[in-house]
Amino acid sequence: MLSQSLRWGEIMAYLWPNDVLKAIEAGQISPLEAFKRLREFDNTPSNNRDVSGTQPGTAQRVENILSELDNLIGLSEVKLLVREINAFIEIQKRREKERLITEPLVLHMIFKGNPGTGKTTVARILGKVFREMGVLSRGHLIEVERADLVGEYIGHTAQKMRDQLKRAYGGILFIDEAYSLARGGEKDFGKEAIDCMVKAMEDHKEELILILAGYQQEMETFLQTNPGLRSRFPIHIDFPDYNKQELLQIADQLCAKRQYQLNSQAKSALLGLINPPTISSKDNFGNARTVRNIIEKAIRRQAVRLLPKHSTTREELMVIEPDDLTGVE
Amino acid sequence: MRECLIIGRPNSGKTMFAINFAGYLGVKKVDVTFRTYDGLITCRHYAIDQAKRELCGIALHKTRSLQSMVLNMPVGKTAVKFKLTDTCGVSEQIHTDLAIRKGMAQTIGQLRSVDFILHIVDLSLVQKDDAANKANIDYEFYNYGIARNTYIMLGNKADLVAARENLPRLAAGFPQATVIPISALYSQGFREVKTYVAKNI
Repeated sequence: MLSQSLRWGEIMAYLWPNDVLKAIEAGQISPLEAFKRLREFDNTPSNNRDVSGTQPGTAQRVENILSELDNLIGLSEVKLLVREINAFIEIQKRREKERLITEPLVLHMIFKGNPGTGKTTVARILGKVFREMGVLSRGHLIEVERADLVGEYIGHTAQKMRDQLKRAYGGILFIDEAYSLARGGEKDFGKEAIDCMVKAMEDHKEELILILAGYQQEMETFLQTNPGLRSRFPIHIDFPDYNKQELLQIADQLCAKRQYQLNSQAKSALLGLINPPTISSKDNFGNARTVRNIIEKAIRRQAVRLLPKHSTTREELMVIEPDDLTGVE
Repeated sequence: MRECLIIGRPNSGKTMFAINFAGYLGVKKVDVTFRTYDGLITCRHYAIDQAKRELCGIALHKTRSLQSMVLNMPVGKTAVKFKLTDTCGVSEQIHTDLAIRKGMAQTIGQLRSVDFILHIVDLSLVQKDDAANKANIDYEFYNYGIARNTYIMLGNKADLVAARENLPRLAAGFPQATVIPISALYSQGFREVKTYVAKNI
């Protein structure tokens, strides 16, 4: 039986470690043979280990996630920055091999932009990229707001803040609407949260990336009131509002992901619906999120339109017509 | 929570070690979570003695699924929780019983995702030519563990006289491994094991 199993093993190429486990279950290969196969996956036999310290698949995986980032519409500044960091880390690794001094990387960031400009989305992707690059050990994103950080009585804030930080070590702590920490005035506990945060970001700069996010105007005021903060965040990224064309591209992408299509009349109807705010107005326009809501509502209305029909073609099921968009806000 | 996995051949004393080690860490009763290969999870509450009676046996392949316990390890002034998982024994050959084959696959799959590996070897069965024979499941465990660098080898049944003499042989056969002689049955040598586990969780 063993010889037969070896033959099986030679014939079949296993693509994933799971396939090897399935083959053990099916009795096609012996556990001994399985180990040999798994070693081929891991590429970790003692004489054949990767000297550079990176797994061969890492570059590919980083590239995959970066392409996810590239697929986002607009955001050219962010894309450039991530490429920069990627290159920097790679070079640091090479320098380390040559025993040159390497800088610990401080990657705390501030994201400024209106709602729906992709701050959270970008933060999530960054978490994944940094994990693959080896900057962060876990690469998860903890999303918090003022209520999660600021306590109810004296001493409570530091405790709450420390709990959240502890959860975030090895990943990213994303503080949304961060300016609200400094809003309450002199006696507010938000100040205490900021002090605690500043200490942690210095002490644990190797295992934590802190991202403060918020609206442009408010964040500027926030940074001005706390002079030490600006210099502690080496990376500032502005998320500009999307223009109409970009919003249309986003709508197209959202539809394509759900296997829907906007026909040309629907596109022009959509353009009429979205009115990005002019620079002077302080309208809280939701940007990409508004577009998503419009598309989702249109999809529901399309369903209502199609329900009375007894037979629908594949195309009818996919196309969103201008009628579906009218009345959508 | 960190997970420690106990692996080894059938009947090397994995389950006995798991239960007695839990007892050594000071628990009187354990909650054992059984995870079968098809994903069914059941939990049972045992006193240590009862667990030994029901889960350990002389026959081969008494354990056929993953059996986990959550234990407290005193580290410094605090206690750290960790998961100790007992597994189905793995042998070289293809087993005729489907359930056991699935158990072995589950063990090997689990091996790849845990934080620390405790490899149990039956000292009384160590042969002279073991080290030379590379087609040996212990050798594969050893290789994998050394590459992962979170691995210790436990030479079980060290209470037997014949077995004790085999200890240098085992250490010579697996030169890169940390080998600790233990007796799972009589809870001997557990202090060193505890130190190593505490360091790695």
